[in-house]
Amino acid sequence: MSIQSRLNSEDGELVITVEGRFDYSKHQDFRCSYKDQAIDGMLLVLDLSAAEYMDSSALGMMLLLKEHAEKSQARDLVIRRPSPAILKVLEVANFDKLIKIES
Amino acid sequence: MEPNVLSFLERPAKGVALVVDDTKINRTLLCRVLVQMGYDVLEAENGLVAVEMFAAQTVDIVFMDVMMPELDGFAATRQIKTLAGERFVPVLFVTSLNEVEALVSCIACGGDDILFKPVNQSVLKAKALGFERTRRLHNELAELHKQMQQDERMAQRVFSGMIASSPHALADINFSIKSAAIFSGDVVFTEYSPNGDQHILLGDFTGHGLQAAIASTPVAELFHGLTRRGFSAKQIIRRINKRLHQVLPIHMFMACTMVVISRNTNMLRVFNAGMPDAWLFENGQVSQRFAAESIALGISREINIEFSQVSVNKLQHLLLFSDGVVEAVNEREHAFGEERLLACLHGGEDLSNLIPAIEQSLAQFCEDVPQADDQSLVHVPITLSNDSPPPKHSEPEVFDLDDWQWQMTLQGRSLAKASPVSLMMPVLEELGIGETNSGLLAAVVSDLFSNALEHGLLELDSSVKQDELGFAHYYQLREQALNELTKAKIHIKLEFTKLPEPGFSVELSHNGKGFEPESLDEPGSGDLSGRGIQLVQALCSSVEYFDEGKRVVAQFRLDDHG
Repeated sequence: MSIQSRLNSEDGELVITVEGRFDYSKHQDFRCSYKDQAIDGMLLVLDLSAAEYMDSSALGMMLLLKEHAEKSQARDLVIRRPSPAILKVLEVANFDKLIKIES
Repeated sequence: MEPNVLSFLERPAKGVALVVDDTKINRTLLCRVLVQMGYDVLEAENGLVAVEMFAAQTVDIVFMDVMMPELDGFAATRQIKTLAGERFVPVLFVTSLNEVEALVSCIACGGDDILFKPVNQSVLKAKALGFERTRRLHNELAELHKQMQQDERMAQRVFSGMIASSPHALADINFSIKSAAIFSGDVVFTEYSPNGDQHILLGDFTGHGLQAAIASTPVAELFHGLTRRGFSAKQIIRRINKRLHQVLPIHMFMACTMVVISRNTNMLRVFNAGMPDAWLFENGQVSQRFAAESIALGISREINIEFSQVSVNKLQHLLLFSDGVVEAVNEREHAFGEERLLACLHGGEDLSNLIPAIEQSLAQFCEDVPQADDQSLVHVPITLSNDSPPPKHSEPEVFDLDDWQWQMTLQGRSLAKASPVSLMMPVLEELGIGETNSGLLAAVVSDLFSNALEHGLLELDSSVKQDELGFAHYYQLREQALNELTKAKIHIKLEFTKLPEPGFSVELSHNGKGFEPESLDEPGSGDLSGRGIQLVQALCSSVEYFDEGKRVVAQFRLDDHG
């Protein structure tokens, strides 16, 4: 599957990895990757190192993830290793001020 | 004998003949014949004198007695052959011995033929002339061989320059290639990507020598060029595979391991295509092996490229090696093997001499057995050799293409089936558009397409996307509506022009209802929708709507994004 989530209880991290396209076609898989996980106190990591591109619907999905993280009292949400193209999209949308980005 | 056969013996011989015999009369008789034939002759009364004479002047053929005082014929022949080195100087034994053992000894000590006493003149002449022929061939061959080695050394120097990696990237790894011939069929390339990732490739072509090395030039070009231009490791491997598939004959291919090290995020990614396992190790213990998960490159046009990804720490090291290392054999045909290689990892704290240590262990094991295959080793300490960040050389993309256009029309249910972006990406890659520009163009096309589809054709209302449920509901509606489409059409045109500056014109048109682009207000920071057009506007130098929003043209400049 092109979206995977891996619970790392030792480090207290839930890592969601998106591969290939990150657009509307992923919305269901994306939601499934976190909605049934117990994440209170955990760090939510959205690993985009393998994502080819993202569009504005992916921005919407990120906002939903952020909302979910806040509701479920996750420790924090970070976006990890976006490609230069994805980083640019995040910056253009001012998401770098909304969500922490680890390059 | 036929007269024309005998005439062969009339041919004059050339050169200097050395006659070695302790009996003067034998020497005189033999010399007379040889002078008649055309030789200049030298005489020696025992083996010792013969060796001294041979060392002092040029001799072309030697006639050697067996039993002599001081030094016998066998020992003298051994020394003469050593002195001759590469040059072929035939030694003919002249003997009355007729025991098998003595005859074998004549050849075993390096002699080339035997003449029996009393010497038959015709046989002597025929043999001498025959060896003349052999000597010419031998010397020609030696000359050609020397020439070839010079050519190869010269070519190797030019070739090394063509495939060289950047010194900065090379400084962060240790490697060695010991080739079985002047040219190596093993290659090591490394380069930094503009995002700071280090790419490392160890490749092993089928066979070794020149024929194996020749295909490494296109691989080097693709590897260095694409890495510097910011292509992902996966894209690079795909391109190398395609190129090798095109250029290599069917029986040739390249096994390789591609490594990506992101030192600022401590991630390691490895793709192994037909190489021995790559080892990640720490404190002398291998903690992870990356086994081959793909066939070697150049065999099949399309291959499945999956990198294994792991977190690493700065105490870890990576070792890559070609099969020539573990398969090197000693005199008893035993292979060096993994166990001995593993033992080398226990080098204590300082692993800076790991490769010399492995090479020493290999040399001790194999002793004098000649190397049968290229042996390469790459040792990558995960920690940086110096902690300064690698230079951010962002080489501008080279647009050496002339203008091109790509367009497609999706109608009815094909709109539900196909994503224009997925179809477009391979086209961009094939035409050499880098990863960053491709990714940004993908965002532009994806959003323009969604807008045309969702608002123009499906007439969906984005305000449904107010919360999580609304968001899901919206896409449910989208799916339903899509299935009912039959006549709806979207046309996409991507036009690359090099001048006045390289860029794309992206045009999308549809046959649905128009929408007012101005009605898409700027979203609040928490809104789940309405970012599409805003994003496209930010990424493009201009966005213009025509025909009540049914056609949109966006200009995307390549230079803006590097």
